[in-house]
Amino acid sequence: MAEDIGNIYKTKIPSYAEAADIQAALKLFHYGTTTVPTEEEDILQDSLAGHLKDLQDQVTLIETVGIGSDFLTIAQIGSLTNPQDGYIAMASDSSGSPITTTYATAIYQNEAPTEDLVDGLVWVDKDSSPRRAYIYNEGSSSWDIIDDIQSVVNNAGDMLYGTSNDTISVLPIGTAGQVLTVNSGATAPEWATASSGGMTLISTTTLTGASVTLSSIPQTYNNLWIIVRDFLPASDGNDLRFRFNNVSTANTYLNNPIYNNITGATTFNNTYGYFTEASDNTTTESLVTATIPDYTNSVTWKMAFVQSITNNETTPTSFRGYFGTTIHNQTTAISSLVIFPQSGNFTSGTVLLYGVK
Amino acid sequence: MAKSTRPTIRIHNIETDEIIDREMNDAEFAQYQTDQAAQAIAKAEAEAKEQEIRENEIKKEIIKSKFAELGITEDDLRILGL
Repeated sequence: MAEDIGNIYKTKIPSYAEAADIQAALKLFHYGTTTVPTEEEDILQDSLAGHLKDLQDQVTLIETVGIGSDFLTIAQIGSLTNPQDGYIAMASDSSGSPITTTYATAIYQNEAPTEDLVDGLVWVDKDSSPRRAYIYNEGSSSWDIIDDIQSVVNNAGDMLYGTSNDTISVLPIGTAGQVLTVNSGATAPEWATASSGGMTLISTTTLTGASVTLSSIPQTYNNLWIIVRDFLPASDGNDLRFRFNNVSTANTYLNNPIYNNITGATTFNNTYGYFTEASDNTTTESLVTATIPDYTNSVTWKMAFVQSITNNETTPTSFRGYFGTTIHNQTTAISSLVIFPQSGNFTSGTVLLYGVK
Repeated sequence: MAKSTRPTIRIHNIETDEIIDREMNDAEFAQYQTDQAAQAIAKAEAEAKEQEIRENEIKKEIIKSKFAELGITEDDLRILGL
């Protein structure tokens, strides 16, 4: 009966009771059994052969993981055959600069750098005006402009303005003749049509029917200026008349047909004002101009200065002229103007209303 | 529906640029009629005045011819302050 020998790296030996068979004893000592194994996996652990197998397995494992180094020439390294993973060969005859790391920095020169290009490298174009800064992008191998304010504008005439703290916006160029002004909310600049000569054409209206009313006249001007072109009444010999705010109350108008002083206690005697004298009803080259000053105030009487010419109703190649003043004894601001012929309808004509600053 | 005889008017809202052509309403038509009546009176008064002037001119010519038959000239009348 075989028995164990040793507590470390155990193996087997025959017992004293067994017959002295030296071959059997050596097999037992070497293999832990008198039967010699033919396959590696049959080798018993507690035997000399089993311990040798453990060592072999560890060496194989180390070689598999890879280990080892050598100090060889470059030629020798080149001729190595089947080197193990992890094998390190240091070239004894190598030469060259040591490995260096290039960190991002800033360069101030005229041309874009071409060497040591790394992410984050900053280049400030020295001869640009205003100075332009770029940052290198290794991913795209290009120089990206930093905080490119110039790219905000797209077209000629674009202007930059602030919309809030640290925020800018673009105001595209306006149209020819426009001027820069402040918007109605006083929050931003804007382009606006310049009011030439301080006059603005507010409306253009064709004369038709029995009367024409210009309503909701803006109260944003100092004076009103009225032009009536080619007034043609349906009835021959009719003149052209008007009313402020459609007031037709008796004795609220006075028409003074010439520019002169009106002295004494002069009373109002009419229900309308005159724009013209009588006019022909077939031919017209008539023209009316009238100025209504300070029309928005609500504390004074109102008046209109009128100058007009009309084709004479009997001899249309001759004219009638009216150069007078209409005075109106109401203080209400003028927000509408009613224009009507003496009787009947308009045949044609055009009224233009201007606001004068 | 009977055809209306009321005149039409045009209202141009300057603020909205809206133009409305419509018949006169009652108040507007009443004012229109008042204006036309006043105009008719004024026209009649003017025509009466013109007629009076024309008649006076005719009377003057008759008187002048009577003075002429008496041998009185316009210069004689001017001297008399007539």
